[in-house]
Amino acid sequence: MPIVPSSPEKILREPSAAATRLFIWSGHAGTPVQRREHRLDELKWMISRQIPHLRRYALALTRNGDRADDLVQDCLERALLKRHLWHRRGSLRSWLFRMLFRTYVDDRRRRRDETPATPEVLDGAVSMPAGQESRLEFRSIVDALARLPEEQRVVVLLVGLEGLAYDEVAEIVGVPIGTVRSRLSRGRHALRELRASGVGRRRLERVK
Amino acid sequence: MTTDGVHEIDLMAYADGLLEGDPARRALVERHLRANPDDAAYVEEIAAQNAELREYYASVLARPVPARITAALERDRRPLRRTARATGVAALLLLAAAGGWLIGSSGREAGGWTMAEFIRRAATYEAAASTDAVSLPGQEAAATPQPLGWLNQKIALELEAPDLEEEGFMLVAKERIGDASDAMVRLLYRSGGGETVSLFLRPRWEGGDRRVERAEAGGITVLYWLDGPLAFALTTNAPTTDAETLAGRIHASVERARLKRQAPTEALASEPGDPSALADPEDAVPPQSATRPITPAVVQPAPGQTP
Repeated sequence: MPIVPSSPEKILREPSAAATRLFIWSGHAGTPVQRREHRLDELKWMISRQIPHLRRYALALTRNGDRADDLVQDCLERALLKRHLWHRRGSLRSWLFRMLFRTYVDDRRRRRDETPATPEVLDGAVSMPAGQESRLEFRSIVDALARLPEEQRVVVLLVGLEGLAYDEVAEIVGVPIGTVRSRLSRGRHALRELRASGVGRRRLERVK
Repeated sequence: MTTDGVHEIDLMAYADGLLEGDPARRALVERHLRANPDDAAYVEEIAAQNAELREYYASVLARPVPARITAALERDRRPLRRTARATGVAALLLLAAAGGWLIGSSGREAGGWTMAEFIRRAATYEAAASTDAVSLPGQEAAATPQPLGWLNQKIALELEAPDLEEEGFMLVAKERIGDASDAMVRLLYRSGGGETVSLFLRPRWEGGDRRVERAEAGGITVLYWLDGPLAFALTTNAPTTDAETLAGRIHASVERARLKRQAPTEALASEPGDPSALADPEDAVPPQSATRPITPAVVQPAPGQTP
């Protein structure tokens, strides 16, 4: 059995419509070198379109703006180094999120002993556009989310915040779809409990 | 859950807007929700959670992207060192045999070893070792750079273990083989399919490289090559063509990052253990090799070795 296809994750990834599209779109005339540069430029263009989403997800995961941007930076560097792998894999978006997720997991492993983000850090990380009212109101979901187990939080954010489909989430996190479903379900029920029990209200009193 | 074939995943998918492309399923769920107020409340709860999340982070999408992130897109092929750490690639310390390593002699490598012996040791080790017996607890072991403890040595080569993740192999173990005066390092990689690759490294100070070649020893095929200050030997139970791909990749990744070539006369002119014999770490790393520097670092002069 050859080495490369023996990696299970590589077997699972079929060429997608997105990959095919990029290939056709890149069909410039010119020398091979020029064509390669065009393809790279187009790939960078497509990656650029995902950067705001990657940053948002990273911020929601870390609740720290600097750490989030560190993760995105690492993720993009990894992505470019390994870009030749993507052509065989699904959508660029889930590939990038997968890379971001792995970067996050590695980063967390290194930081395991560090203290979690404080409210001050959070305030610094997320500046609210709306008035004080909505700030207080919306603190609740984020505070409640912070109390979920990591594995549930990761999945709830991918679906609820980034709007990814369950199969994409399964690919990003590297678990079966059934696991995504159950984590999502447990996460949503826990959030419901937390919100109903007034996590946000206690926060509101403290802020006041 | 129900007799109409609507399950929780349908409710979640409906609330998450994932049934937009499936009107029939959507209609089924909507009919179910009209008949089941509890489920309807659950769907509303999910939709409300999602809406709050998106509202809370709405401003983030519109923020200008910092320059360091856009710059990361232009820095392809030159990732920061931080990236290597983030990927959990192990750093290895290869320490040279005291004294003799610095002063190379042609024909026979310094420290009294030969390429043929190196190949033979790699092959016999591979034949004898049970690869399962030496595995460390995976990434945990690989993530922490640990000197291998050759304390009575003088010179360290810091080298990150070649990353074979793209080839489907993860580093699962590293170990030192042999005594301090004649030691080599073995890195064990394993693929998801259970194939293993053993990579043997040992320091050298002969100048020059040798491309990947093949040898047979004791029925084991060994691919071997020389990269500046390192000698490599690779054995694997994966098919031959892939082994050559792997060897080529390792060769290329080390080549990009190796030491600046030091003229033999310089090495000979310097006393063993004299820090001036070693280039400054900054100088030693060629400017284009920010990725995986092999940084010489003085450890300490071994007692009794200074002439």
